[in-house]
Amino acid sequence: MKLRFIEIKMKKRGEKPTFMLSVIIRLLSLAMGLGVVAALFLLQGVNPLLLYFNIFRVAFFTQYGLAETLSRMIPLLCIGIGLSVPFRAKIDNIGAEGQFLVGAIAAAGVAFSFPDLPAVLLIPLMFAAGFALGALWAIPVAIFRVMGKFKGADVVLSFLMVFPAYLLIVYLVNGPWKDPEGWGFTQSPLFPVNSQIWQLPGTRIHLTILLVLALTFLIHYYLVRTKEGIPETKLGYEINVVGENPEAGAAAGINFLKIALITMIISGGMAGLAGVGEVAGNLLRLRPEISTGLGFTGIVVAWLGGLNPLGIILSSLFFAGLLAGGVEIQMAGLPVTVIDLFNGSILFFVLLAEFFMRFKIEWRILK
Amino acid sequence: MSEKIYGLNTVLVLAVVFIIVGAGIGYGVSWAVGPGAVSPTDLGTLKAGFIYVGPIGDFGWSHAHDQGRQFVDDRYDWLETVYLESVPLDQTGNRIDYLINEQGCDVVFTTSYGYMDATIEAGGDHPDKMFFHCSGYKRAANVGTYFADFYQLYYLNGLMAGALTKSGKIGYVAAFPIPELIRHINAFELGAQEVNSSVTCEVKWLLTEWYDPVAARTAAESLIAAGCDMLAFTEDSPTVLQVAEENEGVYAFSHYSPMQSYAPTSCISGQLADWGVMYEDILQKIYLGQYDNTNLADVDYLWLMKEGGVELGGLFDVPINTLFIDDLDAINVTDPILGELSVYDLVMKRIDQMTDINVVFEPFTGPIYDQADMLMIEAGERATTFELLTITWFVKGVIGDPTP
Repeated sequence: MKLRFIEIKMKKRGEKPTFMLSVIIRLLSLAMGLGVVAALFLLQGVNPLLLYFNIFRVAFFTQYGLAETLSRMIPLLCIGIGLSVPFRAKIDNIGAEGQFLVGAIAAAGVAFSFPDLPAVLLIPLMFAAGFALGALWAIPVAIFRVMGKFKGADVVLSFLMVFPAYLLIVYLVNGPWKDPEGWGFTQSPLFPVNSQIWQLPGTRIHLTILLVLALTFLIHYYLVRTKEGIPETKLGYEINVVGENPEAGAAAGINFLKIALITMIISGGMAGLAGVGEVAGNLLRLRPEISTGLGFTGIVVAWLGGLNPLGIILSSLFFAGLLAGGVEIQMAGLPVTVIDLFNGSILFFVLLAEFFMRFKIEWRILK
Repeated sequence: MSEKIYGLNTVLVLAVVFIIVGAGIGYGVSWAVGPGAVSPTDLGTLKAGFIYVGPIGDFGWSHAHDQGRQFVDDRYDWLETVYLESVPLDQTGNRIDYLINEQGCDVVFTTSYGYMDATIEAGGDHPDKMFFHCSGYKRAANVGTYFADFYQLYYLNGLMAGALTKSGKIGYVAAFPIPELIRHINAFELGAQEVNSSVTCEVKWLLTEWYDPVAARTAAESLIAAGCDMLAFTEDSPTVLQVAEENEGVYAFSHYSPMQSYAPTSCISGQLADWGVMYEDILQKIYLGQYDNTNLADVDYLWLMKEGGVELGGLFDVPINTLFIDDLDAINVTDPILGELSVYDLVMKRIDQMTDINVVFEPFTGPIYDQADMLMIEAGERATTFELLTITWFVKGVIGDPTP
């Protein structure tokens, strides 16, 4: 880009930043995001340090808040870890929200169809159905990413597929699955007892947390684990190669469509599982507003975690804490939408960090 | 000298004895009676938490409740209030816990019908606190209910709509088919039928959110396309009024907050709530110890026009937009009891009757038939409060099935 006095050039970085450097860049970007939001708080006459302290205190150091944080972490971790897989292959699935919603629909469908099955059969069946429907919702994204005639087909399609999923829930809870005792509210009846996932008494932390942690470990073990910087499994290696350079991948005989399908099935399926857990373990009803944007927050979780399972566990904990402690934002007299602004600002800076890890900016003054 | 000391000693000894005996009796009584009702007035202050279903900037339901909260908060030094807005139904229990455990609230107001079960549950979890649920019918020892309902106002709006409609079709943009809206739609149609028996009321259901200006616009425009020229609504933004203002020959009724300024030439009248007076009444009674955590099971406020909780108009103190008074005055109707009179006089008469201490007029007086022509309220009978709070059927003349 050439301006009158200055020339700015975007250059690809020669070598990848080291692990330490990438962690530092991410933390710095997070700090910058928090700084920008702090400036907005200041403009509203709210002391940002006090507010951050209160959010942190409520989210992690009160019994109420910690239980809520862990409960919010379940879907965020599940979605975030799933999204990290196609992100590694440079497939932009931003529609985890829709895959989450169809997962919830699948759970409700199975629960209402077989209410008399014992829980040990019914709950696994719900998870299987949620994974399957979530994956099904994601498969077209993979196909369009590979076969699509324009760049970004995956972004457009995955995003647009959120809306039919949402409208399908609106239809179901106003029509066939409407709660006959709901006084006209748009909700399904309570899930049958056998389909409710066990909760830690007095909290909303449900057993799905164990499943999610186990799957996180499996994804680490089979797709991410590296030895001297090179993934130890063939599939993990292929995903990385495709992500770094699809042409090189093709030259090396890696089928991009196969990788795209596998990664998107994992991602959509994980988002679907999160949907099952959320309705069967937490909300116990299907409603149009079950998600509150968890699928979109999951994108931030995945990137802030550096697409690395351990990092994603930490970043999901961070964002879950933000959701749980976010009530303090309201107590400070700010509107509830500030919580969205918060997430958005941090996503912006985290993505900026990704950019700076891949490119560097060179500039010189023109004479 | 010594006699004086003797006298002083006697007084001291007697005082000590009285104190010991008095304390003993007091302790014994309190032990026998058990822990009494907890009244936060012992502390001299009261903290009230409010949970809203929408954003306070919605200029509808949540806005009106927040105006009421601010009114009482400004008025009393002993009162502190906090609120949480846009609380999803499934987060209710969690947010109540937060208000009580982290904010130290003594009393929590939950201001949406959908919060009913969670409020009752919270009442069980926190037996030493007080709860008030708006618009529901379930109560407990420490959970009361309160509501200011608009159905009389929708009936009055219906009288005007029925008189002024050119097409004979009036419309209603409705968020969800819950009893409150069904009651209001019915009252609107009953009012319109009273002055023009052939008027039908077409309903468009949003089924998405209480605050959804985009969907409300689409719904209002499709009602206009279907020929409706009088619009009422239950959605928490002034969108329907704005749509009416943009369309020649279409008029509408303001909802919940004073919205007439959004449609100065198209807003005929509307419904206004003043939650401040009710919150003042409840909180004062708590402060004075009249209400505590043991005696709320029968506390059920239902304030209508008589109690001053609601009033007619699109602006406070302007029951009918002055632009429409002449038109309403020029249309005559015949009432079996009142004889021939103008619609304007009829509206004023009905206001008098419904603000009368004995409420001599009730819109839901039979015979009233439902959409399938079944007699739902017998001739001469009035619907009971419980029937009105739980109504799920539409009166004849209402068109629009809430099933998608």
